[in-house]
Amino acid sequence: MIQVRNLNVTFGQGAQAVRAVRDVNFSVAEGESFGLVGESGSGKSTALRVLAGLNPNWTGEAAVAGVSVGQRDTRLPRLVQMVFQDPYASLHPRHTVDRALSEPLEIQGIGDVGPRVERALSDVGLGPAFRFRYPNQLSGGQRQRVAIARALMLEPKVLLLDEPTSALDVSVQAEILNLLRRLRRAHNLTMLLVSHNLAVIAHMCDRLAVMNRGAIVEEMDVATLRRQEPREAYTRQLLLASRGYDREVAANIVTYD
Amino acid sequence: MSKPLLEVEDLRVTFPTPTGPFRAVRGVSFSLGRERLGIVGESGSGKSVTGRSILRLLPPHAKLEARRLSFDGKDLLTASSGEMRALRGSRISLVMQDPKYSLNPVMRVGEQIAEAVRDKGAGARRRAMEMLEAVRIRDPERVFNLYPHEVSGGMGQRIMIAMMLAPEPDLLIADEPTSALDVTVQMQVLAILDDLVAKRGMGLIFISHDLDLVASFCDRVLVMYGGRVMEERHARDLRQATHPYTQGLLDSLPRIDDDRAELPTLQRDPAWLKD
Amino acid sequence: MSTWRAQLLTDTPASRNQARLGQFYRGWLQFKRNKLAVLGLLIVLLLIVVAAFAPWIATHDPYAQDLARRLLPPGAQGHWLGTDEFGRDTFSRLVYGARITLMIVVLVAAIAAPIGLLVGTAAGYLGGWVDAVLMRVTDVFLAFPSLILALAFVAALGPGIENAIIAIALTAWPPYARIARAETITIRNSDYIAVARMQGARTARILWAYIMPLCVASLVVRVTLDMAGIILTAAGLGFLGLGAQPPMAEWGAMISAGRRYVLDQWWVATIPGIAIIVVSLAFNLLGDGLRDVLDPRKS
Repeated sequence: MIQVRNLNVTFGQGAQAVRAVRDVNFSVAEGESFGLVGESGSGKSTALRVLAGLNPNWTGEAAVAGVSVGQRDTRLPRLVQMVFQDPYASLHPRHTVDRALSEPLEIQGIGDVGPRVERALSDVGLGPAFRFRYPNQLSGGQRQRVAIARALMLEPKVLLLDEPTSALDVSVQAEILNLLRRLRRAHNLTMLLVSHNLAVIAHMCDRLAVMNRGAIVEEMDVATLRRQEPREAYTRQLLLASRGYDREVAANIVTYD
Repeated sequence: MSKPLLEVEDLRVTFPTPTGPFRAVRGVSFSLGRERLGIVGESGSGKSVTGRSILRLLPPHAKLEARRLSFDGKDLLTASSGEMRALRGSRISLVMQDPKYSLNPVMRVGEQIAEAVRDKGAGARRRAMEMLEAVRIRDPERVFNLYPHEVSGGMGQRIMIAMMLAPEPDLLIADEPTSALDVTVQMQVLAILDDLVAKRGMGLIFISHDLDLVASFCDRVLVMYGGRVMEERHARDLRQATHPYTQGLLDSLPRIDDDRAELPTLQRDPAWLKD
Repeated sequence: MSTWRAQLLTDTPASRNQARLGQFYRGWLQFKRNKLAVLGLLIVLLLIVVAAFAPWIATHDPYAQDLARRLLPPGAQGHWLGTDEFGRDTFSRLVYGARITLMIVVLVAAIAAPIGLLVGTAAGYLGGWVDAVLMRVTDVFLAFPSLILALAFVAALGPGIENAIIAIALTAWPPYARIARAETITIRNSDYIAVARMQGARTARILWAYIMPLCVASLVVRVTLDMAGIILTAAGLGFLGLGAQPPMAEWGAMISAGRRYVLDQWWVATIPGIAIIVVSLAFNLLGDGLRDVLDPRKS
């Protein structure tokens, strides 16, 4: 369903050129949930944005359901959609929830707007009372639910998620993660989840790839992650550092290039 | 048992808003010795406001009341603004979340550290260099002359810490000091804080939303919700927390090594907010 | 709370219109708190009412000359504000002049604001050579002081109130383009724009439905604050004889005509001057109040 081969993304030119993504290869089967883990500067978000069609400067192959994400193909909106990190920035401040959810239908010329909007709202656990609210009348968790509902309006096959719960309170995070799992099963979605949080990836994904400085360090399935038996030293360090503060661990941290 | 460094009794902070007064902190009490106290809570729990109240760094229209608020025996409620200024930055320091917003963008970082040192003059620059070394910055000479936008997040935060510890305060309040950092950088920054706090016998208040981090780094933990303290516990006993809010929070966190299909969600009991 | 107020302020509006009206009402409540802004609004409303009902409010025919009664002081012989050098009633000319002032202000805003908005959002969103070309054109217009440029246009087009309006509009749009462009650049990389692109929205739709609504707030504030300047520019042109032509009762032209008598019959020039000051101030106060309410960063 998702196919990425020899993906390279470079920002800037000449001496200041930064290779944000370096020869990345991975593929995700239909219905699978794949995680991209890494710290800042690892290139995970850049790779995701390439698949979203938001970053045109890449070389290599990147395709969703066989359609390359390069040429602004009109089939893409119905194939792949994205949920962004900051719920406070992903909803247009002057559009009501109803407007935000009807937009994709109107753009794509899909009818039956009213009932679809209502169904989408109830699918994400928000009742009709929320339909005509503005974003500033919604909490962070509610906004993220709207963003998820919006991403599913066009019934995409693939859902891209960029740190969907990082900006949310801990207690809300669990609700959103549960919601995402439920929706994935209900719609047989293929998910590509980017996060710096290994616990979230472990909970949500079947397989994952660890990225550092633009390259994939290691690919593994979640069972291996849970058993905490990674192959690479970088991954091991990441796992140890995720477990809370420990003097020994902190003293032995090394920068990998 | 030595005299506690900080004593807070029945702290209440209220903000006037167009829709009525907002009670951000509703009767928080705790005391702090030369130890590490973590204050954990979600957004809106009042944890940051509590931290700033100690330094009386609230906006002018905020109302602060307490039965007792004293630092090293000195009453902070009746202290004059001159006295508070003398305390802030030299005996009590505050490290905040994002160095992007707390470092002066038009001043070199070394100079900012030198400014914070208590005895100004020739020795200040040397002190600043020492501090840069203490926070494990490898080439302090070069970094001294950099501007804040030229340093990475982790280094910026270490510079903040250097700046806040340069005057050798007795109490350090750290408000989400590592939340904006990568997890490996977080470890390194915490290790530095760990060493500095232990070496100087400082008191540390560590404010965060990250329950696991606070439990592993601090000696004692306060859990706040809705402006109140729900639970106070030794860090090592946090998993045996009795308050349903703390338990609910701990249960709802995803963990690497568990494979629960669905995460239990926190059920908020309105009784927790009652007076 | 009465039911319609409850309906507007409800947390759960049942239709788009109810939601929109609710937002408007909340904005109004916030605006109301600023007493000076409300004063400004009232004066502007008064201006509109006076302009609309001029024939009923004026006591005399503004064009009727009576040389036997020229330069009468305020209060004399039924002329509340005196007469000018041709014996025409100042009060009535003031009232009819309100129509002209209002017309100038509304037409200039209606011409300049949309041009500025379109140019600015297109330049900001499309970038590249479109941005460069549009901004250089804007720079050319901005380089001239507005009165001088208006003078040049009027000199080219010929004197008259319509040409004065066109001239002022042509000098008024560049700042709006700049503002719209700056706002657009700030928001063009927002996530909600990215979402629209991923949904297949075309550029025109994104500009119209996503970007322009966010620029409108700053623009409305700027236009309102500019109205004082527009009135003054029109008055300046009128003063120089290049705007409204006699016998039109334009306030600036009235000041110009009254110049000669300012020492002995001060009211002829001063009263229209006071009217201009009051209306300009009112627009400024209104604009300030609107800015506090409409600042999109607050919502």
